Amino acid sequence: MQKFLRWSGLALVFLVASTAGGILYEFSTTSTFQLIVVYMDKDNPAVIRWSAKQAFYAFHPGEEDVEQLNREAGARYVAALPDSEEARSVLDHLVSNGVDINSVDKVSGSGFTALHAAVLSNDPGTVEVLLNEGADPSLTDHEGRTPLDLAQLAGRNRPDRDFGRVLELLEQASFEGSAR
Amino acid sequence: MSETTLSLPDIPDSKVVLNEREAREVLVFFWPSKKPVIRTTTMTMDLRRYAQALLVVAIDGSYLIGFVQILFEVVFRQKPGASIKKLIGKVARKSTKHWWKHATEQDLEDPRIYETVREAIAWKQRSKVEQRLNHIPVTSRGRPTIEFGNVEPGEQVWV
Repeated sequence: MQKFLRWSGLALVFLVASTAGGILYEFSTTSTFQLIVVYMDKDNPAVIRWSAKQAFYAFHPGEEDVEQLNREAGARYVAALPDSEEARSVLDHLVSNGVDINSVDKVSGSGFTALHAAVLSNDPGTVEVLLNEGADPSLTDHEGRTPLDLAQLAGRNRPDRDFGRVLELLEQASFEGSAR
Repeated sequence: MSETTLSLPDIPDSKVVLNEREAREVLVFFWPSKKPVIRTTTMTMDLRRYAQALLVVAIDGSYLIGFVQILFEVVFRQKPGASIKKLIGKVARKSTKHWWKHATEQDLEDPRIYETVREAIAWKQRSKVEQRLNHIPVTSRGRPTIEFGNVEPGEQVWV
């Protein structure tokens, strides 16, 4: 009986260790974008999100990930994390590893920066995080529009959506920028 | 890290099979948090076409993911609801052959969309849908694409 229990215990330890190893390997080799998606999804089991977070800080972003994130204004993905403190921390990690907070989306062809994207989503929390982390409100998209221009346009087109707070943040940032 | 680029198919008006209600349902499937805005937005032909193109890419992209990822999806992730499943089936049945780059005819008999693929598309296309919802004309230089990292058919990878 004792022998059986010992072997069962060993088998259990092996199973847990190999599952954890498998997840760790998967998360260390997956793209940073995918890892962020897993991490941000509140419906994922806590242990999976926790593992994704650990792998993110330990192994990401790689050189190719940085290139990919910069090609698609990737700062917009993490800035949208619901917890702004967490968003700042994740964004800091990416920026210190080479991700450009002002990079332009070349994949979708819009020429948007992360700030343009956050404005379109009418997401004041994300706009605030990006501005605090150094996003430039004077950059323009392929149509020559700043994020503020986009917010004004969206507000005119959709009067039922209140862009007030986003406009306020952008106007303040633009004012501070021109005062400097 | 390998990368695969999927393009949204260019769907002519005559091939748009989703009606306004269905298009709305598809957009809510991709962006559940945007439901109030989607509900109050008129579903133009452009939005219906866009919703259908998203479903095509999501189905096609779901046949790129490998065994390990499928296992993860089956065990941990939520499955699409019954009503969106109907629309997935409808789009798969009525779509033109050349839109499919990865799904085979056999796959399309029982088409599926994995949660990881839905989420990836939702994140990457968020600005595009927001433009449409805010009635801002979508202009782009070059063909609009969605890049998926770590994807190579037959490999055990994430989409």
